[in-house]
Amino acid sequence: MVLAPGLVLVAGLAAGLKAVTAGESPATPAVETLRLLGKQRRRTPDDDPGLARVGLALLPVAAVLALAVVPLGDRAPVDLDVGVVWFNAMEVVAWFAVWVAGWGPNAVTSLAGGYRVLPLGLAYEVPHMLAIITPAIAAGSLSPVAIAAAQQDLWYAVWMPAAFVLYLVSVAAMAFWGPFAAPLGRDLAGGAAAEHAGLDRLLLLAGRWMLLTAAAAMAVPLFLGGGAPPPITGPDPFPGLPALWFGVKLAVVLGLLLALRRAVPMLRMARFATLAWVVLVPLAVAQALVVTLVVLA
Amino acid sequence: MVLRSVLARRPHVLTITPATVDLGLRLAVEAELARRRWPEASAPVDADVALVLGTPGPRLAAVVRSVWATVPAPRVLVAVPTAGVLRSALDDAAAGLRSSRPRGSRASSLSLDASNDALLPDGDWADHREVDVPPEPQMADLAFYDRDGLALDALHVALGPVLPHWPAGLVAHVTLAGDLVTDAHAEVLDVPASVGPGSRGRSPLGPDRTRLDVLTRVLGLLGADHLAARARHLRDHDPEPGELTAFGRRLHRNRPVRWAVRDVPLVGGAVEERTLADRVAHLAGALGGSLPPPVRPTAEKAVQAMVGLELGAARLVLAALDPDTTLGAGPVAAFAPPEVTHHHH
Repeated sequence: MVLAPGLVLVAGLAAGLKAVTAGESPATPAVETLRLLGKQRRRTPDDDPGLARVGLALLPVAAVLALAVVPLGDRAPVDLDVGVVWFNAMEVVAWFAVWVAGWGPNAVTSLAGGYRVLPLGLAYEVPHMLAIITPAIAAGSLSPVAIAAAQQDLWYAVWMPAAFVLYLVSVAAMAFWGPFAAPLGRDLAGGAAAEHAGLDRLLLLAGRWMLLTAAAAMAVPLFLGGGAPPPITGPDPFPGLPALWFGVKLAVVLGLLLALRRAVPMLRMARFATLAWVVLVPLAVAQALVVTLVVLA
Repeated sequence: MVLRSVLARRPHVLTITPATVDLGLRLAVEAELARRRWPEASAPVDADVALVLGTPGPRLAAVVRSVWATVPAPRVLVAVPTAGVLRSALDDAAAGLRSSRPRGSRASSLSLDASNDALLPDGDWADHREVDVPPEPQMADLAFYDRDGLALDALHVALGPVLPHWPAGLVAHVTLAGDLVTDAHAEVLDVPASVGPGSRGRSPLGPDRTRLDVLTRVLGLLGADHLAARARHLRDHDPEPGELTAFGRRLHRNRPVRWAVRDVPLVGGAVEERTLADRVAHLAGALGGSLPPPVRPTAEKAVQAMVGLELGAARLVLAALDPDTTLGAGPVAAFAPPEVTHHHH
């Protein structure tokens, strides 16, 4: 029950950190949230409000459901044997959410923005799936708890660095954020968000931050040893506080994602497709192959 | 009310700019909004304040009316005819957002729909109400050309003049097959089409500030916010030549930006450069040097260069070409639609 408010809070903190790095006040996300809550909602002629609202409401729900299988410390809210697969399924729900949120208003920029989710998904999903399956191969399990537990001696971020980097890049794409913000791009006057005002807009923008935060949280059990202290620190200075370690690691992952946004401008979908199929997919296949061979040996 | 005072702290501003606007006014507005940290609205739905610069002609006034109708409340419409009244107009806008009752008493800050007439030359708000009834849905034709033979619907859309990083007063009448621009023609609102060439070396800004103005828009469209802010800062604050060359080198060394603008052709010969990447490289490379100002093509030439490109690439091309809309659309070729043959699969 505390999962959704907790995710909103952490996503808000992440958005505040982004505001600070952009030279704005850390209260900016709170100000923007109140601003959008006070704004009128709006409809366009011949729209499909039901469809749009299904999409808008689904986005934060998908983020919370994705987070539900992530061990926040040493235990997951829902300890699913196939947690990695569930997490991946929730991403596809998010694609659908953005797509219909763009489709609903019956407007050109909004529709073109919604459709950009498809080339984006086609480009990032293959390297992303290989990147999350690689730790699962090494741990011999699809449960995030088991994968975290398998990193007692060596973090997977060290053992399979390419998969870790690919995961970071692909979660930015999964949350259509930073270099992959084309579905909500300024060139389309806000893309899928171009016709949504007030609460509708808040759901879309906040849902995106929640999705990004949930995806960053999954990096902790998959690559950074979950709630355990780093293997090199010796005895745990904070015994019995796996949630603390989890929080520290989550902050580091979010910091890396913010740095990615600053370093790389928004990519056109044709550019990202080139990058994905020429560089990222071969890299992901090679990484998965190396890990599989070592596990089999 | 708390929500209203929060709204006035960081209102999103939609600027509506006529083609004939005084360039100094546009730059002053952009600099003042950046100083106040009031973000630029990405679309009318995102706006709290609609800022009308200069003196809109009848065509743009009609656009202002229809755009204003789509801005969600609470909202304020403000006219900024000259740079002198800019600060007081923005203060009035913030005050108008803060007060729960719209204030119609001041000419520069109008919140009531009915009081817009003071701002708009031949505005008739009562008549406009009838226009709000949606027109009959228009059936799309079948595209006569598209990149993958899917025979998508062809949509006829007017892009502009109220879009982020868009040339002042320009409307691009485009035909879209999906997100692909298959045909495009320029119209500049309230400026008659002239037959003159583009403004080779005529920009009142001077060469470096013109380049920085173009780069601000291109980088803004690319979402490279900190680089765009730096370009705008240099444009607005008499920089040393050393600072300019340093910024040019910084852009030149920035691999992600170079990579993001690759693989977009500039067709039609509007400028010497053949690709978007070359255009951006030349704009950045010439900063702080003694080269003549960049060529700014006519609106029609620039809009023609969008044909064949996906919308995102087309927007980047238009921003990088930065047509001089004060000259009107430029010579316009007679429009002759190619033979449309419908293939049914």
